[in-house]
Amino acid sequence: MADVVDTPDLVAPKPEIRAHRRVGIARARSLLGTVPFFAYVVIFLVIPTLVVIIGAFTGDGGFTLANVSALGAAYIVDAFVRSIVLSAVTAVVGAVLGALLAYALVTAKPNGLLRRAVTAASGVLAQFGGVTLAFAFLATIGLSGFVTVFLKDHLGFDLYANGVWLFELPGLVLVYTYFQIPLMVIVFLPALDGIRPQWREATESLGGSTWNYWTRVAGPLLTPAFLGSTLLLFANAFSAYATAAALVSQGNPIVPLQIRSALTSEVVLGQQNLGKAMALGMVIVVAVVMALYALLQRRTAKWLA
Amino acid sequence: MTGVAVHLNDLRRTFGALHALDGLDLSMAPGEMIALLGPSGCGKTTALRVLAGLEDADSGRVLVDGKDITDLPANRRDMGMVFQAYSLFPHLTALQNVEFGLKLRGRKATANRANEMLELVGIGAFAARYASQLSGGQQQRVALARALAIQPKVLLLDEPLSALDAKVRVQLRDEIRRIQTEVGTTTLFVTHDQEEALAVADRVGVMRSGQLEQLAPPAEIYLQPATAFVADFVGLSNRLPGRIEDGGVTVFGTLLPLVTPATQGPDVTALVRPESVDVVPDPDGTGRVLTTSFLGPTSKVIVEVGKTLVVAQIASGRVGELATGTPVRVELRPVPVALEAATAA
Amino acid sequence: MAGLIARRARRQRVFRWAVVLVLGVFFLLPMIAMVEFASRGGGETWRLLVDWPQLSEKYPDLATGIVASLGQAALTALLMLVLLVPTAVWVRLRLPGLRRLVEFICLLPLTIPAIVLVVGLAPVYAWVNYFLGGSSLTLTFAYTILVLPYAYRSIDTGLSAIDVKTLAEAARSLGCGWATVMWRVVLPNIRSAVLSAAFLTVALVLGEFTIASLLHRDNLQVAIEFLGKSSATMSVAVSLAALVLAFIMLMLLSLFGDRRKASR
Repeated sequence: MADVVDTPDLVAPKPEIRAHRRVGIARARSLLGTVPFFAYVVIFLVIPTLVVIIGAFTGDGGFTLANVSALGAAYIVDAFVRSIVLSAVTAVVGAVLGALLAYALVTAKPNGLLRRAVTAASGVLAQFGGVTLAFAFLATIGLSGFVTVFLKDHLGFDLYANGVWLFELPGLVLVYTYFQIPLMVIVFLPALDGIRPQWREATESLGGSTWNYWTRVAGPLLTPAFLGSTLLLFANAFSAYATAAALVSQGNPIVPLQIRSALTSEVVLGQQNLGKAMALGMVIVVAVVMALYALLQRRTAKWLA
Repeated sequence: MTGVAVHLNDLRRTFGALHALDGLDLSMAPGEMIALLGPSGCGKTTALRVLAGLEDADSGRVLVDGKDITDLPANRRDMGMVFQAYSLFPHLTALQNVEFGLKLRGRKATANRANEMLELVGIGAFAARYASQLSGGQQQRVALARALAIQPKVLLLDEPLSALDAKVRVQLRDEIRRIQTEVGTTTLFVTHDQEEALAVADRVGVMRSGQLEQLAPPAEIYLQPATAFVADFVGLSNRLPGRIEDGGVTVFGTLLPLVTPATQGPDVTALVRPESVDVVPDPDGTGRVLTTSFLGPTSKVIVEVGKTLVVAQIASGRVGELATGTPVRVELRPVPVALEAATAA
Repeated sequence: MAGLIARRARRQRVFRWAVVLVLGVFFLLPMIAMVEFASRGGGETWRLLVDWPQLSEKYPDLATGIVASLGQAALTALLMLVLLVPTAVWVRLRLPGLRRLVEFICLLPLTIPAIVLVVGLAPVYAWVNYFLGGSSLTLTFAYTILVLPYAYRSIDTGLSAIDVKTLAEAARSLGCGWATVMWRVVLPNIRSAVLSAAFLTVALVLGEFTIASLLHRDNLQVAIEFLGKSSATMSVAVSLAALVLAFIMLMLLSLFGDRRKASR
C-alpha cells in the first residue's frame, strides 16, 4: 500500500493533463460528427475532380503530356475560342441589359409589386436553362416557330434566308442571353441596393450634377460589382452544356460539346483522356474567372455592404 | 468669412394626410447657428431638406442672402450638408472626400485647402484613411470639413451626432460650436436631443407638427417656455395641481409667477422644473420620500405628496438625510412656470 | 418651376416602365410561342398531358422520365437535408474553425461545371452500379453535390438569422443533449431556410440534364430531349409544363419567404 502512495506515477495524472486529454477527446468527437459530410464530398466531388486532373495527364504508358498538347489541335483551339467568344458576348450583353433592368427595379418602391414580381421571375428564369429553354426558342424562332412563321406570312421576311443560324453560335448567343439577363439582375441588384441616397444628396449639395454623380461616385462604386457580375455571367455561360446539347445537332462548336463527343466516342481510351484534358482546361478557365470574381466581390462588400 | 441671412417664408409641405410643414416661418441672422428641435415627424428634417433643395415645398419661399432660391436646384444652392449617417464617399480617402466639392468647381491645388480643413476639424493626421478606417466621430468631422471646404453660404447639419456614442456626441458638439463660430457660416442644426440643441445654438427653434412653437435663445426656451409643449419637451417637468389666483398659480402653498398670462382656471396643472423643487426633512411634512437616484453632481429625489409624485433635483450632498420614507415638505422656488394646456373634459 | 424633385421621379418612372416593357416582351415571347406551338393540332396535346394512363401508354419513355425525376428530386432533397443540416449546425456550434473549409467545399461545385464533373463521375458511378445497380435514382448522389452551393447558402443564412450559438447554449444550460438541441431547438427555427433549400433542390433536379444524359440514365429533361426527335408539339408542351411547375414552386418560395419575414 505504501508503495503505491510513494510512487506518484501510478496515481492518476495531474488535473491539467486530464483536462487537456478531455478537450482532446471532445474535439475528436466533434470532428467525428462531420465525417459523413466530408466522406460524401470526398467520394462524389474530390475523387471525380482528381480523376479529371490525373486522367488529363494519363496516357497508355502512364504519365504523359500528350493529352494536354493535343489540346493544341486546331479543332479544339477553335472550340475554346468559340466558347470564350460565346461566353464573353453573352456575358457583356447580359450584364448591360441586366444592369439596366436592375437599375430600373432599384428606382421603384422597395416592396412594391414590380420589384418583387421581376425579382421572383428573375430567380426562376436564371435557373431556366437546358432542354426546356432550347425547345422554347425552337417554338419561338425555330424553323416552324411562332415568330418565324409570323414574319414569313405577314412581313414576307425569311429569318433563315442566309442559313439556319439558330443552331450555330449566333443562335446560342440569343438563347444564352435569356438566362444571363435574369442572373445579372439577381447578382447585381444587391450592389445597387448598397448605394446610399446620402451619397447622391451629398454630391448635389457639393455642387455636382447628375453626370458628376455617375462619373465620380456611383460609377466608381459600382464598377467592381459590375465587373464581378460580368465575370460570373461569363463562367455561367462557359460551363453551360444542356442548352447547346439540345440545340446543336451538327458538329461540336463549343468545348462542352467537344467533351460530350470525347466521352461518347467509341474510340480507344485515348479519346477519353483527351476529354479529361479538355475538362481540365475548362476547370482552369472557370476557376480563374471565379477567383477574380471573388476578389472583386470583396471590394464591393467593403464599399456597398 | 461672414455669414448670410436666411429666410424661410410660410413653407408648406403635405405628404398625403400628413402636414410635414404647416406654414413655417424662420429667419436666420448672418452667422447665426439655429437648432431646430422637436419630436420625430415634427418637420424639422423636412425644413432642412427644403432649404437644401433636396425636397420641394408645396408653397412658400426660401431666401438666402436676399435672393429667392426656391426654384434653384440643390446643386446650385452653394450649401454644405452633413448627414446623420453614410456621410462620406466610401471609395475616397478623407482628403479626397474633402477635395470633392473643390474639384467639382475646377479649383487647383485642392489638396492644400483640404488639408487645411481637416486640420480645422482636428483630424489632419487621418487624411489618407478611408471611411471604413475611421470611427463614427471621425467620419462626421471629415464630413464637416468637406461641407466647409467649399465655403458655403449656409451650413446644414441633419442630426449629425445622433448616430454616435454619448461621450463622442458631447465632445463633437462642442467642436462643432467652436468651428462654426470660427468660420462664421450661418448654420441650421437639426436634432431631437434637447440637451444638444441648448448646448450649441445661438437660438433654438422648437417645432411641432410642422410649425415653430418657439424660437428663442436657449436660456429663454428653458426658463420661459412659451407653450406647455415647449416646457414639456425641453427639460423635465413636474405636473402639479395648482390654482390660479393673484395673477399667478398657487402650488403646494407657494404662489408662482406665470410665463404667460393664464387663459384657463381656476384649477390648472402647472409645469414645474425639478431643479425648482426643494425637499426639506420635516416631521410634520405632507410628503414622503419614495426613492433617490444618485446622478453625479446632483441627485434625483422622488417624493409622494398625497396622490402626486414630485421629482426634485437637489445637490447630492444632501441626499444623506433623505432616506426612503422620511417625511418631508416640498418647497417651490418662485420661478415662472407654464401651464399645461387645458384638455376638453 | 416647382417640383424639380417630382420631375426627376417622373423621368425615372418612364425609364423604369420602358425598360421593363421592352425586356418583358423579350421574355414573354418564348412562353407565348410555347403555348401556341403546343396548341397546334387542336389542343390534343394538352388533353393528353393531363391524362396520365394515356400519356404513359403513348410515350412510355416520357412517363419513365417523369417518374424518375420526381424520385430523384425527393431523394436528393432528403439526402441534402440529412447531410447538410446537421453538418452546418454542428460546424457552427462545435467546430467554428472548420466553417470556412465547409463553406469553400460547398461553393466548389460552382467552379466545377457539371460537364466536367460528369467526366470524373464515370468511374465513381461504375462502383455505384456495382453496389447499388444502375437505377436512375442513383443520380441522387451526384445531384446532392450539384445543389450544395444553393442549399448551403440557404441554410447558412437561416442559421445566421437565428443566432444558433445563443440558442444552443441556452438549451444546453437547461440540460439538453446535442440531439435534442438539433431536433427540437434548432430545426424548428430554420424551417423556412430548410424549406427554401428543399425547393431550390427540387427545381434544380427537375431541370438537370447534363449528368443524367452523359451517364445514360433516365430523367425528365433527357426524356423531353428524346421526345423532341419524334413529337415536337408534345415535347414543347411538357417543357412548358415543367417550366410552369418550377415557376409556381419558386414563386411560392418567394411569397412564403416574404410572409415569414413580415410575421417577424
